[in-house]
Amino acid sequence: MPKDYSSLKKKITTALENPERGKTLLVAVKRGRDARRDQLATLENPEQFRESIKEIKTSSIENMDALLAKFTKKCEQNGNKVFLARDGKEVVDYILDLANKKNVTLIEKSKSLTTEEIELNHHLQQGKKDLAVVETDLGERIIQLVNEKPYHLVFPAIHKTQSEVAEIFTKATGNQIPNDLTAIMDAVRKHLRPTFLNSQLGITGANIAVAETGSIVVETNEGNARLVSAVPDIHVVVVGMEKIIGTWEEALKLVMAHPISATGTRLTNYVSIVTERLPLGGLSKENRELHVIILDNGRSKMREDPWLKEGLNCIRCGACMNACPTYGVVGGHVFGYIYPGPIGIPWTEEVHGLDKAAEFAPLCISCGLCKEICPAEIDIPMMIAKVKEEDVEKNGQLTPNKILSRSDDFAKLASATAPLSNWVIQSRVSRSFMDRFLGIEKKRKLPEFKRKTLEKQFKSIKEPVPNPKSKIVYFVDIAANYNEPELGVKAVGLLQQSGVEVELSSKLRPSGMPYISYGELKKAKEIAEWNVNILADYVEKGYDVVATEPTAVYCLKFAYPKLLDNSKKSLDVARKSFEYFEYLTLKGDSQNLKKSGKISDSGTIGFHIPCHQRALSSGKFTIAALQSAGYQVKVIETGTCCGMAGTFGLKKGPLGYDLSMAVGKPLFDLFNDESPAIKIIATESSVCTTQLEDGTKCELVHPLNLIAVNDSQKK
Amino acid sequence: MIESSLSSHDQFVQEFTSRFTKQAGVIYPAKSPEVAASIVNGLIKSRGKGESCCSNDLEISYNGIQTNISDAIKATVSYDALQKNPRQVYPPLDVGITKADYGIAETGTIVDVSYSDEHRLLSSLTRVHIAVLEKERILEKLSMLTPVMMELLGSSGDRKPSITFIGGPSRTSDIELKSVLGVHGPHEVHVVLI
Repeated sequence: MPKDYSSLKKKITTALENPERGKTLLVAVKRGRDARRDQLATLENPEQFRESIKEIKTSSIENMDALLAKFTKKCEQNGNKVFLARDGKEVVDYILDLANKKNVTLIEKSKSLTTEEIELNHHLQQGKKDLAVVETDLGERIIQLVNEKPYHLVFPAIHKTQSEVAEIFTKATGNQIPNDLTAIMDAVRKHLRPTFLNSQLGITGANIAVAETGSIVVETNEGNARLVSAVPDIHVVVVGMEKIIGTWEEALKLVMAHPISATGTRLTNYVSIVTERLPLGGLSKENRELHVIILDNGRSKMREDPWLKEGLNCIRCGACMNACPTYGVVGGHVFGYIYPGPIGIPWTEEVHGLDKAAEFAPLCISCGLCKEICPAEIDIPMMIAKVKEEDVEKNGQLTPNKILSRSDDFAKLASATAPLSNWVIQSRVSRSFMDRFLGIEKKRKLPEFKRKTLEKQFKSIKEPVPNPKSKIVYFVDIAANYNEPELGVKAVGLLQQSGVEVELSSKLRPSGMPYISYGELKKAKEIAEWNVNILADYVEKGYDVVATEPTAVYCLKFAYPKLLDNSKKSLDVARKSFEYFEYLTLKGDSQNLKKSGKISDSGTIGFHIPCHQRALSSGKFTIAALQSAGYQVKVIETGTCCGMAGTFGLKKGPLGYDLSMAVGKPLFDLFNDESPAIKIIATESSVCTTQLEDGTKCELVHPLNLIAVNDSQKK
Repeated sequence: MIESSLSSHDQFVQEFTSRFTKQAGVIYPAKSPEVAASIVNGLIKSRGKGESCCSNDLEISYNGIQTNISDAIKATVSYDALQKNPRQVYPPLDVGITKADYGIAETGTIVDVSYSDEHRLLSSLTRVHIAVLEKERILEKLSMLTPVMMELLGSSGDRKPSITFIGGPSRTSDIELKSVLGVHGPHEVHVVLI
């Protein structure tokens, strides 16, 4: 019997029952996204900047062995001790040994996720009962005092309100701390000052280790790492192996990349560069110690995995959790073990094991937004799909996932038996049955199936185009074939009117995205291979590939090449694949449009950008086409997902419909509260259409249904 | 490296000032080392609430002449005393005065180069940090520091400093993402620009 994720579902339900915390979190992640976007916009070439970060990280990971050797040599030449720890236990043993030899009873720490990863504080205190370990970063100190794990990579205590923090420090200090930010700060300063002045050993992490000089770089806004690395006579740095890079030229780029992505600032307030100990109070540097512990803990193994090694490129900025739609609702204690958020899934799998990662991996809804925001362009969604695959292989697949992965087979059957199938699907009895036994949410409106599919109609609508300006093969998705073939007919007609010859291949299969979402990568690969082989033949004959569903184009351009190890055929197809309106624009026909039929006087059209379209054009061609047809268009967005996420929102309960609607709510509110009122929403995604129909008061229309070609322009 | 950035130098100074000010730092232009010393003394008086200490390395290059203004700074605790017994001197210390070695326009940052931890603590443990910076040492881009890093940290010499980029007062947004100044480090950072 497959695992049912009951513990995860329970945690999601609890999170959804706390709307106040949810609001705080949503404001926090939105602020993170907005600040990053604004700061990036001030750079001369943001894309080039992002590209350079990816290059630095990729080449450093490729050369990790050489860089490790160089860093070790340089660091030792500087008079420091370097220790390569295979796992957390070796780190703990090393520091305990040091603490015992030097009679250390008080250790101060600055924020370090690497030490969180190995639960260093807990193990140190277990290993030496008279030892106190005090976190000095405010957020870390708060969660240490309440014995919790980080809620967010950058803001570990973001879930605590000001009044809760005041109470925590009231309890910790024994003094009544008022619910006032300045008063809390004064109390924290006073509370931690003795620790700063009296600790015998200070532990910091490192954001970067620079091989060419054997230096470490620690970034803090509070300035606590400066104190931790200056006052105690023993300074221990615990640094993940993947943080070592080659040169200062690279390091100075990375120190900007961290805060831009994490907090939307150009540089962290204090960037401390430590190369060797300095003298203090008459004690020479030779009598003060610097120990650099380089942690492996699964990183070497990660490097061997062609998909997961990209995770080592992570610069720990937390941007992926600011973009993740489900993280933004449930937070890091549900969406995380120690490492939270999207990147936390592959990292947890590698350093804490599959079971821990599988506990929250289903929260990834494959929207792809984490990849879009990641400063190192890490393909986090595909890494997560790999973790899900391992989970499915070990624990089995959930029933609704099995059914929804095969939605093309069901669509074929439902279409062949329509309208009977529609009656069955819509009936209360069968919806209750589907809800109870198949896990398909009964509240969700399901689309109608048409017997006369686009495929069946194609022969009759295909027109000869003399001297075509180009030839395309239409990569038809489920919706345009089985649910809304009239949309497909219109898509074909419009292209033909514009002088484009259109082909359809009945051999092509739908994109297979659900297989990726639910971790069935072998099947996804099989479909990718099948479709790419067919499409590559067309491409070779001079055809372009066009799709009306953004997810279909996303698969052609990104998912298929990844699944097929960037094979030549997959890359050829990717290069020749286009969104529908992008293609119209390229062929110069997006200017020859007029408003179409029934919706000619609708006021402003609200535009929704589906997540997968953000990796493509973000809808710019579609918006321009609608505008050229004479519409006023306004993009309404929260910057994240509508919550439907393919078939995720069709599933029953907290790991489906409930979470899906909670993710969508802020967007529903924006559409519903827009003034003057928005009556029509245009979007190209069939599943977003379902979600916004269920969540808003607006009418949903595919942009194709809003336009027609000007008669005078017909070719 | 510095020469190459002089052509639009005033622009960089302006950018540095604007960014540093936005980050809650305060800039005071000074026409000469003497004026700088008097501004620092005024700040010790007006902003300080306790003891003050000035590092001994405030060497300023002005009109081709090197002047050390450390002695002109009227701090209450001598740097010698601090070096001898920092753990005793630090608790009541309120104001720390140091020299900033560089300024970076694109990030609004000053660069502190310290060869001792007493020096580093003047800008990290105090409530008020005052730094003196020569205008000519403001660089356009952070990347221009690459050769400086190699010169200071890559040599085979036996003294390698700790280097800190400082972007203004200590801050945190850990509580409800509300930005607040002065957690562990300085509440105030003043830069006197000569």
